[in-house]
Amino acid sequence: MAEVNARGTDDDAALMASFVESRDRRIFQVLYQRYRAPIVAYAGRYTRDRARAEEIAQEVFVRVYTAKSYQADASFKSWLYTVATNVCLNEVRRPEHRQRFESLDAPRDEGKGPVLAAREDASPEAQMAHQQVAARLEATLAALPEKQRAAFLMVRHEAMTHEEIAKSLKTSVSAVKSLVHRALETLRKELRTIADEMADESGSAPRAEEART
Amino acid sequence: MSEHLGEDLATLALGNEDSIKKHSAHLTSCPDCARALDEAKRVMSALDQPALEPSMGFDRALFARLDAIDAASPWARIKAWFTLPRLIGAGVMALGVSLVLMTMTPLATPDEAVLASIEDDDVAENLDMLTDLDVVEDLDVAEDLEDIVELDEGSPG
Repeated sequence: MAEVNARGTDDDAALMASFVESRDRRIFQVLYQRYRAPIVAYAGRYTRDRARAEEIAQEVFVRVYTAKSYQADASFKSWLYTVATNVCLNEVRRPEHRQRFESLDAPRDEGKGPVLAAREDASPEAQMAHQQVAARLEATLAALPEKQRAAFLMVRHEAMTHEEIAKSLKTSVSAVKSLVHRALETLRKELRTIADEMADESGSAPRAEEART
Repeated sequence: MSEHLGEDLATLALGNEDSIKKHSAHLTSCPDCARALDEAKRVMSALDQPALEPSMGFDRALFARLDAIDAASPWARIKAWFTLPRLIGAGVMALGVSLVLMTMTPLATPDEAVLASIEDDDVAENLDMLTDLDVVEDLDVAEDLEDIVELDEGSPG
C-alpha cells in the first residue's frame, strides 16, 4: 500500500487521479493488484458467502473503474474503503442477505465462507467451543450498528489508522475511537455471556475458561 | 494511579506499541483494566478468521465486466470504429471521390446558374449600355485589327 505523504495524499491517490484523467487501464491494474485481495477479504467479513463476497468486490472495482471524478486530496485507501463499505452495507441491508445470515447459526464448512479458525493442537471439544464462540461473536459483530461494525472491521482486519477510518466513514477521529470502543464493549459483553452459558451447561468452571480461549 | 484504559482498549488488544507503553504501568496495578484487556484480546483472537481470498476466476470475471463497460461507452464505440483497415478504406474512398469530382468538373465552363442570373433585368440593361459605348467604336486599335484581318485573308496560303 502507498505511504501517505505530508499532504495527506499518497501515491495511490495520484495514480487514481491519473487514471480518471487518462482512462489508461494499465494504471487501474496497478491499483487493482494492490487492493484486490484486501477488498475481497473485507467483503468476506460482511457476507459469509464467497460468491456474494466476490460480487461485492467486483462491484467495488467497477465503481473505481467508472469513477467520473476523483479528488486526490486524501488517502486512496480511505476513499476505496468508503466505496467498499457502501457496497457491503447495501448488500447486508437486502432482505435476502438477512434471511441467509440468520439461518447460519452453526459453524460453516470450509468451502462456503471464512473458516472459523480453531487451534489445531487443541482437543476436539476445545475446537468446538472455540468455533461456537467465534460464530456467536461474528453474529454479534454483524448485528452491530453499521458504523460501529465498519470501524471495528477496519481497525481489526484492515490495519487502518483512526485517521484513515475517520476519512473513510466521513467522521472525526474521536468518533472513530468511540465507535470501535462501543463495538468492543458489546463483543466483550457477549463473550462473558457465552462463557457463563457454557459454565451453566457443563456445571464446571474449567469449561467456562475454555470458552474464553 | 494512572488513568484507566478507556478507548485505548482496542488498540492495546491489537498490540499497538504506543498504547502498551502508555498503559503498562497502570495495567500492573489495576485488575479491572487487566481483565478488560484480557477479554478484549480473546475477542480479537476469536474473530481472527482467515481472510477470504479471490478465487481463480475472480480477475477474469471482473475484467470481462470492464470490457463490457468499455464496449458500451459511446467514446469507446467511436474509437472502436476507427480501426486501421477502416481508416485506410475511408481514405481510399475519399481520394476516389475527389478524383471523380475533379474529372467531371470543367475548369473554365461558366456555371449555368451564373448565366441564368445574367438574365436579371438590371444586368441586361447594363449590358446594353456597354454595347452602346462610343468609346468602343472609336477605338483606333479595333479598326487596325480589322485591317490586319483583311491583310491576313489576302495573303497567299
